[in-house]
Amino acid sequence: MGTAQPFFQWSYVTGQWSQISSDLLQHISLSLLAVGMGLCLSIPLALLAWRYRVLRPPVFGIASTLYIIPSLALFAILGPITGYVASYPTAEVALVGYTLLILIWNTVAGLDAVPADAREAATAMGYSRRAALVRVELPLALPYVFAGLRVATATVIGLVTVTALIGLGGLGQQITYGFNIGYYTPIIVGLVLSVVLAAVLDLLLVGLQRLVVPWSRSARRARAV
Amino acid sequence: MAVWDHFRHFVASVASWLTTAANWKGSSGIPELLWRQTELSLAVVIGALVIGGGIGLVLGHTGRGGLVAVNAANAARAVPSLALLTLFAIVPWISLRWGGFLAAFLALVVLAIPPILTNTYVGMREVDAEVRDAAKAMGLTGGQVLRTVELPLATPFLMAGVRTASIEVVATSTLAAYVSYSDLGTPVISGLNTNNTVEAFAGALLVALLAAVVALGLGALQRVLTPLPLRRHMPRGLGASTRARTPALAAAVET
Amino acid sequence: MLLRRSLMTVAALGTTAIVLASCSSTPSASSKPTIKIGATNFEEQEIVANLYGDVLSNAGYKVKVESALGTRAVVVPAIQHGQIDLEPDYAASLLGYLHGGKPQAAGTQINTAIAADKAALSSSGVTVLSASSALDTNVFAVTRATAAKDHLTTLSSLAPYASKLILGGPPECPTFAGCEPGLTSVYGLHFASFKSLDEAGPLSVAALKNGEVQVVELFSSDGNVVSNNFVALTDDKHLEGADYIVPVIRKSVDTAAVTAALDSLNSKLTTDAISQLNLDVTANKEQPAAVAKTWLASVGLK
Repeated sequence: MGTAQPFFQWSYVTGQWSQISSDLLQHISLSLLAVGMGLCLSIPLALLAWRYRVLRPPVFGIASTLYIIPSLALFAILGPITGYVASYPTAEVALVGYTLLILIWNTVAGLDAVPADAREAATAMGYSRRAALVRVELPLALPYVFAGLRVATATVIGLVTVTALIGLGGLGQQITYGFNIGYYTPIIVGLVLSVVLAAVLDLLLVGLQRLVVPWSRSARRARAV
Repeated sequence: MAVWDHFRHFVASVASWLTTAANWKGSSGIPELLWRQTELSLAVVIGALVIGGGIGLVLGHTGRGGLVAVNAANAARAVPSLALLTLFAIVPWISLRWGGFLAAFLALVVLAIPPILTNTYVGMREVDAEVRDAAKAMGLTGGQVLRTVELPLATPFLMAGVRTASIEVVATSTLAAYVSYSDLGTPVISGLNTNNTVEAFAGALLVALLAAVVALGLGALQRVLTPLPLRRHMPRGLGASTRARTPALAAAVET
Repeated sequence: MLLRRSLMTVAALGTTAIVLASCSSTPSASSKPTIKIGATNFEEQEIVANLYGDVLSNAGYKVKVESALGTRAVVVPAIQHGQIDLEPDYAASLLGYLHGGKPQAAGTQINTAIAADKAALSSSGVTVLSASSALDTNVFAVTRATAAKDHLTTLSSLAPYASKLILGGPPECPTFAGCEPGLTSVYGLHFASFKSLDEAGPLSVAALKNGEVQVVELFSSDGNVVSNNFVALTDDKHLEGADYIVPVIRKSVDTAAVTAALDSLNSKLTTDAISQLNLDVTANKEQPAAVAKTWLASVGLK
């Protein structure tokens, strides 16, 4: 705006690479922490909700609430408690909260989808409930968990930019800088690097899935995506 | 005990902000801000339904190109909406047009299309090949098959997509206040800018309430619009949606 | 066996995440006396922080400039807790912030403002040095055409016309003391309506230019007034405080040499000078650090 500018100035990228990479690093750390903590919280919660059906409404209710409340609003709500300027706790609670519904839902769906034959076979082989869960049911549910993990990761990466409005932001810093002075390039840098980061993490997750769940290869033919 | 007093005082301040008559009047009063956010979200969802739903229907009906479309849609999930909002807001031909509405609309439509497109496509593909064949055997044309067979069966998925998209749009439209489109995000951003925790919190409560109302309302609508025979399989509640047959579809469809 | 492997992989992933996270936020435990200069998200702050850094390193000190730390609510506690040693701030707004966000009477005059700032910060081991001549405060601008048509020079002169004019500003303008409420209470201005824009950025400039608003809040030093040929109406009743740029510094770091180095900037750093530097960054998209260095050389401080 104002002075005419090319849509993208490569010189900005080369000149400001140290700031850009520092923003990228902050973005990665915020994202990985959120997904990691989300996973650690959601697996036990999902197991509880799956085993004790009566717990499903409250667990899903809370997870849904955290999912539905816009991240910016959640920052403002958490702020008085966990601080709201440049506060990692505030950002992380909101980001983790967002992942819970997706991860819990998918884990429960995965466990529900375990074929009855597999469960019966486990019992027939003398596994205790706990052993059956750990050795049969959870592994079979893993494809669902991974699917949820991939979606959660992609969305968290997008959400991290909003933390710029409370002083963090990762690549969101590039976006707000560009907006403050009407400069396209930093915004585009923020946008493109976010998408690239999401693609890289998605690939890593797919690779991890192949390592950990090798039998899903034959099932892949049946999937539309 | 100081903490408890502090908490009580804060709650009282928020309640006071929410009950101050001045905050409910005029062009930056709560009803006006609520209306603007609703108006924007509605326009976006309708636009995304037309574009995303249209593409999903066509691809799902012909069975071609869906993989590319769905993968592209997944990639679009990672695009930060803040980037789109700010970018559109400063591009000269879009900037400030219709009081910031156009920039916000374009950015949010990009956000809303992926879930609707994916779900519509998946819903269409989930229709049993046998059912389609039977319809064709009965002499129905392509268009009739689409209208009378595929669409009703795909509706649960489509509605799930609309619901997901709507929730995301209502939530993200809060950010439109950052790029000059005043809505319920305005008190939140204004409060964050001036360290006015009370204003920010009160605004956040209103936004959260709006999001909850939309989510619950659309859940109810989803049940109403699903053909009766399929309703048995629909779980209730805020997290409700339909179940897809494979894990990746489940993830693509549920969120 | 398989599950154990997968659980270990998840654990490894988790650990990597934590490690990466902690790596990107390592506290700097330096034994050398490096002066850490902090700045908020605004480009002008980054320019001045770099100016401070450059004059101090010329005087032989090691410096580290950390910009884009957020808002004053981050930076001031940071200096109070010793996480940074020096930050550029604005005398009157700082005073207001230190008193719960309420503008203070002492803020209307630079000397009383600095004295009051020093008093408020003393217990945290922080002090305030002399002010530069650069004033960055809210101004309300109109286009040159509007000013000519209605003979507008001061904010008071807006009084007869305000009811027909639309005011533009940041989202917090209707509730922020230095914006709309202040215009009403100090000048008796009641505008036709208010339009929310951005923080005195490109949208505000564009809205004034295309006539969507007739009066807009800008900053006195961001160069937008000059570069767009706007007229900034004089604050004849002193609604806005004496927001001159001042160095806020930890007493432990403030030696005579440091004070001398920072003072040397003061006379040269005028509102016009900082406006031009801001313009270089916002309009010409140059980098704050580079702009600071070039300017210092041009005024003979390097």
